[in-house]
Formats: sequence, C-alpha cells, structure tokens
Amino acid sequence: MKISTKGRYGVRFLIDVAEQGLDTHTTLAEISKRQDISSAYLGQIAVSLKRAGYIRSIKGSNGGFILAKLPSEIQLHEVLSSLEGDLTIVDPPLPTEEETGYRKAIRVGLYQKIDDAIAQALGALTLEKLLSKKNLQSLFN
Amino acid sequence: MKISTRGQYSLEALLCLATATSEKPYSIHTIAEKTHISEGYLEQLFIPLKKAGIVTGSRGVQGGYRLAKDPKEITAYQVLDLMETTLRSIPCLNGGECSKSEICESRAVWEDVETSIESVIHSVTLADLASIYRSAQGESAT
Repeated sequence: MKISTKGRYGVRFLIDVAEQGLDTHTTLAEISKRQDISSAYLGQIAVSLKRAGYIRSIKGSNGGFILAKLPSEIQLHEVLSSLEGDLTIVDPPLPTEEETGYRKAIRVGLYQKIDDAIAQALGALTLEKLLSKKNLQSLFN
Repeated sequence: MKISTRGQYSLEALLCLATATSEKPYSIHTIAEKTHISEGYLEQLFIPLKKAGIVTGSRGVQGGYRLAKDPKEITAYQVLDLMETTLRSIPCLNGGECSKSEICESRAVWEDVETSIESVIHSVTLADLASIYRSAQGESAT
C-alpha cells in the first residue's frame, strides 16, 4: 500500500510554487533546491501538473512556474488522483474477468470502505488550507 | 496506493475458509477451485498464515485447512499486517528518514489518510465479510 513519490512530490511542488507568491514565477532549479528533489524528476511532475491545469509556465529570463488556479480552487484529492492515476486501494476488476463471490464480498465490505475513508480524509482539503496550516504554525513558533 | 495481490488473495482464501459449509477441513484443491487461485500460490500463502496461528492445517487424505479462530476475531488488519510488506502508504511516516519532516505541510495530510485506512482495516473482520458473502449468495440463489 503506497502513495508514490509522484503524488507526494507533486503536492510539495504546488505548495512551493504557491509560497513564492501568486504572481511570482519560480524556476525548476529554485524549486529543486528548496525541496531537495532532483530537477529532472520535478520536470516530469511539472509536465503532469501543467497538463492537469494546476500550473502554467512562462519562458524567458523572468520565466518559471506559477499557479494556474487559486489555492482555494486546488483540491488535494483531485491533484493526487491525477498524479497517481487513481486513488483506489485495489484495481477495479477487468471487464473480462469473472469476479468470485469472495472477491466481491471483500470489495464491498473492505476495499470500498477504505476508498470512502480516503476520500473523506482528503475531503474538502485544498492547497489553501495546507498553506494556512503552515502560516499558523510559523506564527506560533 | 494499493493492496498487493498477495494481500488480496490471502483475504479471499481466508474468506473461503470462513464460509466453509462442511465440517471437514478444505483441501488446497478445494480452496483453489472455489477461489480461482492456483494451488501453488495458496500453499505459499498458508505457510505464514499457519505460522501466525490464523489457520490450522492437517495432513492425510481427509487433511486440509481451517480457520484457527472465530472469524469475528480475525481482522483485515491482522491479515494485511502479516501478508503485506508494509501497511504504510508513505515512506516518510516510517520515521526519521526525512530531513524536512519538521516543516512539511503535507505530512499531516498523509497521516490523516493512513489513520483512516487503518481504522477501517482494524474494524472489519472475516465475520463481517462472511455475512456479506452469505447474503449475496442467498440473493443469487433465489
């Protein structure tokens, strides 16, 4: 059972870009340095995030990445789903596959419950809420 | 975030035993037929399950496997904890290996996700799954 680095680094990517300010572009090299993640890997993640419409990139000497949406509009559940492929705890049965009664019962009684619990835990969590958590912490520390 | 085939098959084989309709233990052959899991794979699964006291096995012509405990006392957690390499969905919660843990904003989110997965797998028992199985069988029989 794992959430891949792609999902986790993707969230860190978005947090990092958001923290630089909503109208400041930041480069892959800068994010890589701050987050201590290789820029080659971040580059791949950036492609996915861009395709999913969370970030925009601008070329040129002042270029870099910027959020394409407001932090309040970026749902964590959606970000993870788009980076991980899906967030289900087991793969759905293939259409050609005959599911045994046992497997069906476990799907209903366990796997679906886990999927619901994950959806609930991520719930209405947005990038904005993650950012404000951090700001609150820095106020108190 | 996935439960491995090994974890899934273990649950299926155990559910098969939990819903056994005969007094006789089920042979590997019978379990394979009912679950569509190969005999070789099942034998591999039953070694750790037996060692952990979840099933008992007997030899001989009438031999086979049965649950060692009441299905109510076997949680999905016990099975998956035994059969999965890790129940942690994210390595950074295994402690210590991340230099950024103090300042990481997403860590709390992952912790919430893990806690919610764990609370489900702790609460679901083989008896719960067996009753879902039986009511589905009842429906398809009528």
